[in-house]
Amino acid sequence: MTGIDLAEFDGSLGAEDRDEEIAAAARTDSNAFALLYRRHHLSVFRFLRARTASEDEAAELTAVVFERALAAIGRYRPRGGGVIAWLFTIARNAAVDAERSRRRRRPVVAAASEPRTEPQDPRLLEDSVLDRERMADLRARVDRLPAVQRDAIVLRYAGGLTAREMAGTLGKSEAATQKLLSRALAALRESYRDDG
Amino acid sequence: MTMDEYLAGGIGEDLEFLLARAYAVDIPADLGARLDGRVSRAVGHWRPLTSTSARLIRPSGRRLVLIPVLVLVLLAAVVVTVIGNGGTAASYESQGGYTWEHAEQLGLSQTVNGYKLTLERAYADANQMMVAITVVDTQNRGWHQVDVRGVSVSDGSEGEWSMNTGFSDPVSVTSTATLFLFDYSPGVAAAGRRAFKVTVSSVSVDNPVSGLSGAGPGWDPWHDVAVNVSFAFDLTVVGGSEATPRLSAEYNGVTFTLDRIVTAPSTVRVELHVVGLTTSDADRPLVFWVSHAGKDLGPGVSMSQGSRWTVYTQTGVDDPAGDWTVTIADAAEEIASGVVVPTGRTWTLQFSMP
Repeated sequence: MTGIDLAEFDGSLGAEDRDEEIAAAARTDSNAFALLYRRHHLSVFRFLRARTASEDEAAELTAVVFERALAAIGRYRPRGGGVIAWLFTIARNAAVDAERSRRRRRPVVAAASEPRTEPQDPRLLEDSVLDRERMADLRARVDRLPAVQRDAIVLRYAGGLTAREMAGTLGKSEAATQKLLSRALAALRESYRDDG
Repeated sequence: MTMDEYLAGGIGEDLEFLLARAYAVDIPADLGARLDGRVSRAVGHWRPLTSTSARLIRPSGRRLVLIPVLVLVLLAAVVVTVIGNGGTAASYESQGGYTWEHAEQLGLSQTVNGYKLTLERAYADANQMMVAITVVDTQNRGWHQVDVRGVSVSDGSEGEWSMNTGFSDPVSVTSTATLFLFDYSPGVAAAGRRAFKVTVSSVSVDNPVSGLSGAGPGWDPWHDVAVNVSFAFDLTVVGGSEATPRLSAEYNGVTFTLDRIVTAPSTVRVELHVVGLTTSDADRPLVFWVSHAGKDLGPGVSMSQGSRWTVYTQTGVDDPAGDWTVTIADAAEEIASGVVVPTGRTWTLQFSMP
């Protein structure tokens, strides 16, 4: 039998394999590409939100990522990290392009996303403001890390990538990526100790 | 602020948890809607596959489920080799596609507002018609891409040729080669030679100038330019065979009934209707597989309109005599808590044709 083996649809496929199957279909099927978009656009947006100054810009770049992905899906070939790594490689490049083109000088995390609802209880409001400051402070610390460490943090915690997917995005081995992430986390902890 | 202070101010989270929280932002509804709309428009202007970036074009209002292997085969049929470009008409070289190989060469050209449109070849049989059209921006206005839109076909018969799908291959920023497939309804296209008219209403251009900078999230780089060109020519329609087996197969409360099969040299058309699909079922991908006399005709391109489905196989048959099998598999998946679960339902219909 040529083509798709119906036995493939046996429930044993993992998320990455399923993504590969969808990507294969997405080369020619807009429904499949839409499924890829639905599955991954939020994580791409979160990654780009961490690399941009505003939600508008993150959404704009998210659209660019999927437009580029759509244009290139016919040339996609499975490799380490699968579709996720491929999408985030596009996203990373789009973020770099945007940063270059806009010659941004200010820290990109300065205006990072705020909670969109505020508790009415004054004590909770205080906690919420404090929490936002903590989150903003943490993001600022990430932004001050060396670029490759920052990318590792953002890919992991904003994009939600696995070590394998990060490795595919960063062009490193999985072991090297895990070490990179560990070093980045250690550097973050160290930044707090330095303040203390 | 120290790490201890940081953690003391929270609920004892570790750093990784805090990082996940720090980046766990949602897309605001208004931005999300604009983002969805923009990606939807991009998909609507799809230019996928082949060595550069061919695209699949489909009419609105019908749901088309494409099976990748089939389309890869179809695309192999429309791989084009550019002999000339950069403002000259492109030539095509078939890589095995039946409709291209058996098409009549036409080479009819018209130029409107600097857009040169050439109807290269056309083919028609009982099931489908193919037209190959090249567009060239002879003024090289700097578009990222140029394409043909609004193509329609008529032959003066009672039925109608409606666009099924199309593939385009941007040869360069100034030229694109596009192959359109039309199917005939109602019924079967009559065999014989007759007059056809192909009309192209517009050329679509991707204008990069108003791209990212200064453009809102909803900006669409594609713009249609009216051309309204018509090509008139004679073409021989190749005949086919038709049968109405009226077979049904039921599984888990869902019944597929085979209403009609139309065989032709380029493809086999299978018409079915289904009873019992729920609303959520109706949005699921179904794989249709057709075999004849021991030969696998491959997974089919399927389209649904309500409860009715039409399937086109990737290859056709010259002689329909023998045993036929139509297999329908539910390739749907359910995603619950991040776990993907294919449903794995199958229906099988078997019959013979004299």
